[in-house]
Amino acid sequence: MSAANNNTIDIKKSFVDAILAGLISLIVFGPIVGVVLQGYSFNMEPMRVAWLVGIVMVGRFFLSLFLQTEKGLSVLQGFERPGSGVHVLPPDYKSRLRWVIPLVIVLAIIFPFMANKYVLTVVILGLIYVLLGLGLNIVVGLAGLLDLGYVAFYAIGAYGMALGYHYLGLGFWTVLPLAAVAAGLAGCILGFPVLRMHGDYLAIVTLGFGEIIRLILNNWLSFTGGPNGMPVPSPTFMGLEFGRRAKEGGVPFHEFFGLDYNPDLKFIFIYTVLFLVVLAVLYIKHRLTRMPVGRAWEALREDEIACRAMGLNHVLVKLSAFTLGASTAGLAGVFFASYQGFVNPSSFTFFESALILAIVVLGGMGSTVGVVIAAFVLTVAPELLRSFSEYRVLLFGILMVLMMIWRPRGLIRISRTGVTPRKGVAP
Amino acid sequence: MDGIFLQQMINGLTLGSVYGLIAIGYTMVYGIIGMINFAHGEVYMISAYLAAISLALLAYFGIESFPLLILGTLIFTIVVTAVYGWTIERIAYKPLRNSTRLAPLISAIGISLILQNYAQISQGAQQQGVPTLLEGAWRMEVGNGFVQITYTKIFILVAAFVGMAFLTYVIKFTKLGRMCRATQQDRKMASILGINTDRVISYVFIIGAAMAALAGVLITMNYGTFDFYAGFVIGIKAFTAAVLGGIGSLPGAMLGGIILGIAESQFSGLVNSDYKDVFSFSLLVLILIFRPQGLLGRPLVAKV
Amino acid sequence: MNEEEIILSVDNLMMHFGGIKALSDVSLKVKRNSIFALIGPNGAGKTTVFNCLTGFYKATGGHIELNMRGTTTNVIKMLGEPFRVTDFFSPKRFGSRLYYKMFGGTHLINRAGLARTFQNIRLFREMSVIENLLVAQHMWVNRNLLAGVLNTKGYRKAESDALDHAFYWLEVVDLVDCANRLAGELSYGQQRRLEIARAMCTRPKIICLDEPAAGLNPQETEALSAMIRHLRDDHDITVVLIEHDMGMVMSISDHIVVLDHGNVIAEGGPEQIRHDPKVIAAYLGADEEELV
Repeated sequence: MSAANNNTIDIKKSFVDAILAGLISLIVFGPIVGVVLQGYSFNMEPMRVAWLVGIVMVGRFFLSLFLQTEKGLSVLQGFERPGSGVHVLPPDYKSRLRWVIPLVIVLAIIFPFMANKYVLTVVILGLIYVLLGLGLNIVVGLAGLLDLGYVAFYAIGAYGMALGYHYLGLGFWTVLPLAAVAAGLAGCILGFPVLRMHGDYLAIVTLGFGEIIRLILNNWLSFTGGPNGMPVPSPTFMGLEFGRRAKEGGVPFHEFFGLDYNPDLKFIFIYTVLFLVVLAVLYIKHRLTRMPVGRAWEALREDEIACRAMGLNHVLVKLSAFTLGASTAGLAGVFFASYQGFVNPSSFTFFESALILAIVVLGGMGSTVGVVIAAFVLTVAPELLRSFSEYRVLLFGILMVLMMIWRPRGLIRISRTGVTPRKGVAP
Repeated sequence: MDGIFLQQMINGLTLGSVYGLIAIGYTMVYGIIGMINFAHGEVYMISAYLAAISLALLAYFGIESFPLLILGTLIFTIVVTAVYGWTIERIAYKPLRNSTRLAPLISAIGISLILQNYAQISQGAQQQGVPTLLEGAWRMEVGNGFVQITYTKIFILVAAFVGMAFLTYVIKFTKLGRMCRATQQDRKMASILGINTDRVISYVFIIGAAMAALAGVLITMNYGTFDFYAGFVIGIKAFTAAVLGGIGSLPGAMLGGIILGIAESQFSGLVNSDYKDVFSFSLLVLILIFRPQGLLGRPLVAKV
Repeated sequence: MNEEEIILSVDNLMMHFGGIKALSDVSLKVKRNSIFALIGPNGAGKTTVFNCLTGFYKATGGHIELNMRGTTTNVIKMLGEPFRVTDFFSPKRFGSRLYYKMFGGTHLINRAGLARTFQNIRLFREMSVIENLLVAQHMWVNRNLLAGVLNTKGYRKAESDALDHAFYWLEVVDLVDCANRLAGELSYGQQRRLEIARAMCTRPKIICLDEPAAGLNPQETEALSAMIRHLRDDHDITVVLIEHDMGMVMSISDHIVVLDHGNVIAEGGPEQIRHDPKVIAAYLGADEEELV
């Protein structure tokens, strides 16, 4: 197409587009939005339909105009070529943003002394989702396996805490590693048979698995307490409790250290441990992407057949990603249970899996920094915009579709580390 | 023969025929673009709302005869749901034709969330219902009990089988069906031969949505209640049916639906109805492990 | 030929897809340290033979045996065979079959020492060239998770060795300048060469090349021939290739097998094949009756 032809913008075409879109949206929105069921009768809501159709028409009109401009054409062509957005860094590349890491750590250390309880809990929740996002990012972003039942492993961690305390008297510190192991084991058992099959089946099997776990938690009243859930004890530090008074002759934390009683102490403690765990997971993930197993995950995402021809056992490599992701969720579950003080099945619905997936999608497949930021944006923003909470899920859905169309790799550019060329050594 | 067993058999058959209708949408889309359309269950959910809305509207206009009511509802629901199917494909899947393998799956999850929340916001989170359209039942003494078949169930069976027979005819004997089958075998070759494959893919989504709409009307008639979350569980079950029959195979979807419906009804009748969903999902996992090609599907040979 | 000299032997290989008989009865023997070519018209079943050899297809019948690194490998057993009645009486056989069913597969063939390339290039397109070569050395580096996370000395040494090795093969295929580029960005010819280097990085004894010269210009083909000879002469590698470029096949092969309709119709040295009437008929499409 020559540039001269491009300059003419066909407004008539845009009008036609807009009217067609309006008609379609009238059919689509008309009945569901316009006629609200009330028992066996209904109420008419024509204004809502008019608004929606209007928005669609105006939006389509401007989209159509924009796509006729040169910039729009280039955007359209951008869809045609796949695989853009990844680049290799020069060998001795040092990020200019390296100073951010110590800054964040310093801020994180000061933070609990400044924040009130509400802010503290919001940040704890954000960190829990960072953990979940990092775990799922290994599975989805690095290994390219779509896990839609990720919340099941989260639930295993959380219920592991509750059940472990209730039936076996286990405390926070015992359960923390055990939950990671248990969730990993569950991932292993589920993953081993499923991962040898065609990739898409994994998505639906994990979706089913997530629902099975939730249904069992919900229906097994005698064991899990059913929909009412179960209480979870507060964590302790070296046997010291964070309550005003300790149970059964123990010494509370604040008395032992001669501090004033602070009701937020439990949250500060959870925050501290959680922050350390997140740092550790971040470091491990950073190492993993540079290790043979991390490379194998990404290679498997790129081309499974080639991997098998390279001597990689594709089932075990996928299984390692799936298991590691699951055990990270198990860890997050323990923190969630301790933070909330009780667990019930309604925290582990499919929406939760979708939210975690949205974090990974927004943050970028395989990007660590992106996931951390996205986790905070998607968990903290709903807290700030409480009046929009009704639309939260809708926004996640729109976000996922738009991101897939516009930037399937996420907002942050993926970079690969470079290597200094050297002289080869013959085998 | 045991009365409960026979009763569950009949319940299972009606339920299964409806699963089969929804499974058709999964199996056809999978056959043609190799993607699991996660939003399909939600399309069914939307059609349940549409059916209830249409019944309410028709009642408002004073139409009370059953044939007119059901005919009007079927036409309205199928047409509008088909438009939904088309729109979803257009917005969420078509731009991703050349994208990575995960992109359409995630986009489908997004659409699924959008539709659920959209129904919840516009219609409210409460359960919705429709009045019973067909009263009465047919009873029969069997051994130590009796079996009851409501006229609604008979209608569902007939309608589902008519729907499936019609679709089989379309796919087997019409030009559209030939184009679908050609595109399913080899999309590139079909487009070289002058088939507009994009349009065929759109048709497949429309057909799938129409079948889900038929299922939506029938299930709504049978149970009388539904909510915005109804599509999720039934979607997974219909997918199970599609896998059980062999994904990509049309008769397989119908057979799989019926087998799953009967198995599930027997399980809830004989063992425990609380865990019937767990049973179906476990069945899905087991099928995928032991017979991933399903009953009528052909084993997959990876192209190297 | 003496038994020790045979690195790969295929006996009565059969491969059926549903009702289609892709291979009806293929037997061939590949001599150690030679260049072996598999030719035949389109649809003759060459790639199917390759896929059976490299473990991507589980052959319907027959026997494939690799004889290298001092052991013999039964390819079909590695892929996991169905249980037989007798297995249930012998726990050891049952165990081994179960093991291969669970953990067996294509990768074991590569680990036995057989590497391959693909007709339609299969690189890890969004990974850098050097990463492609490192992935191929997965079985040769330190895969201990703890060592990797802690970045121990042994781990660093193994990684460094892998890099040395990777750069050696980059030099051989003349791609050192591209080490830090994405594999998907390379030109077609470069991608073909990278695929060979990647296969070589798995440190095989046999390399199977599926149409390595397809889409290359005459100069590139010449360079490829030289490289293949270099592999045979300096690296003790046995090369098995499928190729349509007859000039190249005739010039480099030590032994040629011609397939048509899933059957071996001729074998021998390049001179013998060039004058075989059956081969000429298969390529030119004459009826066999006319020839007799």
